Amino acid sequence: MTSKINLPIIDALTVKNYDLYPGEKNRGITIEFKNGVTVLAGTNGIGKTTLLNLLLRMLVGPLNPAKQNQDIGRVSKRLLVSPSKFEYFKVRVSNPKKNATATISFRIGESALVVTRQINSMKLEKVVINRKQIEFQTEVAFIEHLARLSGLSSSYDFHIAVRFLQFFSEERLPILWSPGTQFEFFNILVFDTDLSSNIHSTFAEIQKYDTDQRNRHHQLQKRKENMPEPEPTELELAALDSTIEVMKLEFSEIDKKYNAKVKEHSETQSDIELLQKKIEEYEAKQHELEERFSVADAQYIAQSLPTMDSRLRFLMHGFGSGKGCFVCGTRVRKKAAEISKELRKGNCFVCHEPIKTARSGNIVPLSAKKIKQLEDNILSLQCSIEQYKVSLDERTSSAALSLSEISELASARLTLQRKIDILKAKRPKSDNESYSEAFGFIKSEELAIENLDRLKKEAVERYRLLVDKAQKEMDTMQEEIASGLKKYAESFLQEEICIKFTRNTPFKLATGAGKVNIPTFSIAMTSNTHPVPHDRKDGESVSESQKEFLDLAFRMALLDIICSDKASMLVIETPEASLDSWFMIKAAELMRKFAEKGSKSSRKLFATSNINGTRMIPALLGLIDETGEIRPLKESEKGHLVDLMKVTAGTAALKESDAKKFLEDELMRIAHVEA
Amino acid sequence: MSKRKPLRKSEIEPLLFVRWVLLLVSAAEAAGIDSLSRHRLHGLLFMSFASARFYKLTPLRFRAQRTPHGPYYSGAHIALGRLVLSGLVELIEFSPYPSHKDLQFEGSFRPTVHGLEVAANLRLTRTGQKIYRFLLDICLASVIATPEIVSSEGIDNRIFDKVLEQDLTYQHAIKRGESFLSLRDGDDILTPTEKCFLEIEKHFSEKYLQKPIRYSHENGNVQDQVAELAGASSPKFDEPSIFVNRRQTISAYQKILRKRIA
Repeated sequence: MTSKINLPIIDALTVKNYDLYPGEKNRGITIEFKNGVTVLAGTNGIGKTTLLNLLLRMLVGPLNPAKQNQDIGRVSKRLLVSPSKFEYFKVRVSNPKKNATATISFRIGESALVVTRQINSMKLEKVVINRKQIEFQTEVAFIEHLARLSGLSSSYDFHIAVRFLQFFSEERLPILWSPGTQFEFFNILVFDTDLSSNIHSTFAEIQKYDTDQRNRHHQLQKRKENMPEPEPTELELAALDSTIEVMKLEFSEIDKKYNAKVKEHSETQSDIELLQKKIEEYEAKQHELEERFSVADAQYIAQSLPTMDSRLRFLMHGFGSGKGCFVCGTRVRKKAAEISKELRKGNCFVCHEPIKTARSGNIVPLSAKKIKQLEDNILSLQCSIEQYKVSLDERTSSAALSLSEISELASARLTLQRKIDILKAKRPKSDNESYSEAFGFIKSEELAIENLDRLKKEAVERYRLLVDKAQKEMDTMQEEIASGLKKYAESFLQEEICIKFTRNTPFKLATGAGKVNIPTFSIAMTSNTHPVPHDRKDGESVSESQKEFLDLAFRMALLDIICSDKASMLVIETPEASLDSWFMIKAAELMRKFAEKGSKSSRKLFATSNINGTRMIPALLGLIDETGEIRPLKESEKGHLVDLMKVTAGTAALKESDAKKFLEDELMRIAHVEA
Repeated sequence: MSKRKPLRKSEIEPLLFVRWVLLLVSAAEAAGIDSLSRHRLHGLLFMSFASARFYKLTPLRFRAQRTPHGPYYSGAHIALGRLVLSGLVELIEFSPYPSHKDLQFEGSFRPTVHGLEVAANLRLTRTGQKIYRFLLDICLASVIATPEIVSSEGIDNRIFDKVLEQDLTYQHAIKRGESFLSLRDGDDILTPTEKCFLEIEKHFSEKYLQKPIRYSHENGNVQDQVAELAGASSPKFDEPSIFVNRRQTISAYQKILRKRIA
């Protein structure tokens, strides 16, 4: 198969002003990566993983997939996002220098790139492509360019391919054991651009329909739970409304009467108050007039009666005329003189007290007319008072009656109002969602959800058809993959391995979507208990180390197909983990097979390894001969072993001279340069 | 022009009593009552005060003393003295009354010409006229009920005095056993005499008239005195009226009293 993909091949890495990698005399480090296997040897905590991560981040930058922890086989939004801060390398030194930089030289196809980044943030400082400096506005733009150079569809594809295919690091993303991931890698690296794009977009579409459908279904269930009471039928509602209207009319009538009565009563009360005031006022006037009349009447009587003078004259006349005393009739003349004397003194001749006499002459007598006038005025007032009292009685009776009527009307009004309120309460409330509105919404939502389901199913069908096409493309490389995988796997496992390419693996496209069988490679393998190759569908069916290395073998086979006669690079972190001595050798053989020298194109494999007294490092470097003896490194091979103890800041253990000597001796023993 | 000397309250009541007595004496003369003795005069005064509200008059506030010789108004004595000394009333057959407590004198009272002139003057006011007509009605009713009192032939007309003694109010007051004779038990309560008048009126209207009694006098205003006095509902003014003299009521009353002494 001829691939158009060119993955990056690292040639060199230079680090300056970074305390983790000071180099000799703090001049920084430069590591050249030659074809074949390069071992980055070091002790625990010396910075092996950091160095591999540096190599990775120099290629892909600080960007990460939008959904980092998600299974890449199930990613619908294939986007890279820039973190607000990327301080992975900055925090690994106590005093990060602002001018700490790293420069990586690598190739993508025919393009030679030299990229310099600030280590503290991984920010691009300089990009030179084919000796031309190029400015990129954003990191994403740079990665997009790299993707184009690589022949990949997007910056996302470039990131995935480099990070999870080329770099077999701590993350150890399983490809062989995850059908979805496997298919995704084929999609990224193998399938036709259009097919790949369609598969991705259809998958995203299915995901979207599924997410929408599930969300809306959840919301719908909640709405159903909170659904209002069912409304009465239209007929019942009409009858209810009609009754309410009739009652409202009745109420309106009663209300009018009630208000009119209240007004009438109020006016009557006002009249009563006015009348009472009038009566009081007139009675006061009457009393005053009667007082005046009483005095005037008495004065009139007094002026009508003879005065004291006339009485005295009358009495004296009796004496003077010889008729004698008016009391006893005695005619005694001398008594007349005595009486006259008393009278002249102004005394009463009977009791001898001074007589008070009224001055006469100048006083105008009261006329009967004036008395009559007073009497008429009093009578008039009395009549008026009587009339007012009659009116008052009438008004009071009227007020009592109207009060009684008001009470009845108020009671009827209240009863009617209550009835109306009860009937109104039976109607659906206008301020809250009505049953019909809720029902309508639910129906429309159910329809929408059904539609989404239909669309999803259609998309799944389309996806199935796309997978059919994909299967055909994968078919073309079936043999190559199978042979490559077999080659690498058997060199490591020493078991008989059969590679199967089937479309039996159900792949759940979305939580609520159906499954589509996707074409996947699987292996069948013999074991001590299975003399005949037995299907190993998942990683649980093999040991951890077998799982890792079979996955590594699959990567190698995939890289072989993609890169074929082109350059290829694989970066592996501490491959000896969990391997016994024999399998270390076998693993090393596996890796050396990948980066075999003498290939037409550049094949590189970088591996970090612990200095742990094992033969992993010499095995990786190919220093173990047929007899099992370790030969020294040739001068020309010196570059394939990077002694990190010499270029890194070292660990606390290395500060102890004994430990350092011990480890250095260890390394020397297993990988020393030929003298 | 000089200012009129204001009358004190203590002077007003005696003046009113003087008018009442003068008008009573004049009315008795006009009615033809032959002899108005002191005893009769005081009796008539008592009956007039006991009946006054029937004519919508306010009786004077003088109370009669209870004496063995009938009701006695000391005010009347003063008034009579003044009237006699003023030459308005003539005292015939004068004799002092031998009583330690009372200021009395016996005799017959008649108005003089001057007295009649003064009485006529007093009748020029509505109140005066009203009082005179009331007193005249009593006197005329007495004449109707006891014709003997107009006899000038010396027939014993003590019957009238006995009739006066039978007055219901007087009898009621006597029975109370107090030294002063009260006319009524309360200000708003009718006297027994007034109640009897109303009963007589009611009897008239139910048995003879079949319609409510209405009076056509009293300043031209039509008033329902029965309803006002008795508190009964007012008659309908649109019904045709039957006019009955109150004098006839009083006369009927006195006839009843006369029958009691028979």
